[in-house]
Amino acid sequence: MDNSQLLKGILEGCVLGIISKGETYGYEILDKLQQAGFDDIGEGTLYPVLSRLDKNGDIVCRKARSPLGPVRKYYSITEQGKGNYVEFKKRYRAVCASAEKLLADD
Amino acid sequence: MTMNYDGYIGFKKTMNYNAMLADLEPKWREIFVRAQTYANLNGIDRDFANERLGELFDMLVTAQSEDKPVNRITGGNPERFCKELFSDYDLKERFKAFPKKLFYTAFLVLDFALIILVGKCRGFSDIPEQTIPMSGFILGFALSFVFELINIVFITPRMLKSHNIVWWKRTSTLIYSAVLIAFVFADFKYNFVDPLETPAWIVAIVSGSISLVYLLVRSIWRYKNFGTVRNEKGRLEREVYERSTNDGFAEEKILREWSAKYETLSKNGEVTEQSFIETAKKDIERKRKHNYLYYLLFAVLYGAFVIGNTFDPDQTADAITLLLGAVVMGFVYYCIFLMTAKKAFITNDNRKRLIAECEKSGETLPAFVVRKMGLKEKCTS
Repeated sequence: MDNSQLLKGILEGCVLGIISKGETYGYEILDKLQQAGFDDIGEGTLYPVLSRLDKNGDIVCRKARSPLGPVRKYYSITEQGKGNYVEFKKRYRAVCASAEKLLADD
Repeated sequence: MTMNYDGYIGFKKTMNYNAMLADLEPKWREIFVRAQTYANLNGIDRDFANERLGELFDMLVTAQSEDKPVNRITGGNPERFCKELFSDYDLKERFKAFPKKLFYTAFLVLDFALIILVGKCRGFSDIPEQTIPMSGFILGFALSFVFELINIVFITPRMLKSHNIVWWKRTSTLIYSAVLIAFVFADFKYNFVDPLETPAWIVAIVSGSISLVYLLVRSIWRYKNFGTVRNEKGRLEREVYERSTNDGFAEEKILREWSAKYETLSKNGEVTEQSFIETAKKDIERKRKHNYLYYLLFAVLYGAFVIGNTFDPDQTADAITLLLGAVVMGFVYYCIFLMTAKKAFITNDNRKRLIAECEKSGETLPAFVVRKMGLKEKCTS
């Protein structure tokens, strides 16, 4: 079974969760996702997610120079994003609880 | 290691990635060029692609500095990586970019039509007779597109592993432009294919209408979103970008220029730490006049070129046609002026801004420069 659909459903929420902890940038977000066990996530998957969150108004970004030289986008969560993150956590826990119940019967 | 990108960043807020590629090791460079090639081949809008590639570049530089494996960024599948990177460039985004491309093309065609109309007409009665061989434009665009395709598919990948990639990126852009212009003019002269002669006035009206509609819609959109028809978003982004990235004509270059000048002049006893600011102010005024003179000279040369190549000195034109010609040539020159002069004037504006900042801080200019640049070595006498 392909994991990508499962991942698609929760990735935005997970990224929002990382950003909710403080201003951060793409590489750091990717690092935290991979540390949490999302090994299949590459930068190619991450940036469209960030772009969607930005367009939806859940995050804002500012450009600044990184310590190594290139321009870097720093992301931080908005009030709307905080609200959506709380909603995501509720829905995720509800889905997990239902799934656990079903799978536990096997 | 902090890489120095002075001079690598171009006029617009889009970065000159090609120059930055030289700082990436081959295995990282390959990822970047692959993504860039994917964007080019799939017709992804330049602004959209550059925004995304900028983020990718930052990530590659960081991963390289930490000596991470390549699949840390690509997820192990470079092809899928490229597709995912631009996966949100959907039809809506593509549609958004189309009007801008249409405007640039229409504007270019309008310039040609106006030059022909103004240059060859001796009065309003001549206007219906003037035609433009449209085949030149079609041939030029088609051939330059073929060249670009050959470049992207066959040549650029072979340059990936060599440091010549930077040189080739610049050279190929020049070749692309030269092919386009050469075939347009060559077809005008030699008629390689059916010229498709089209009345110049129709070409001018159609291309002019497209340009006007685009500018009108853009002005309305800007006013609705920013309360002004000026490119506020672009101006603000450029300001932020310049200040945060030390663009080629932003702070760091100017500060270095003043640092070097102060060192030379103070050694010769020509300035003191307190008087250097007056020297810098005089320089700004001198450069301002120099910029205007330079572009006045350019206007004279441009006018001479156009007149010399289009007007027939044996014939006389009526006053209205001459006036129309002057207005049109002036308009075309103004557009060229905008494209090339902005950089010089913006640099000077940045100098003025820094001088004002220095005066507000109460420091001498050399001390201000040292503080801004974070230099350790003494810049003062």
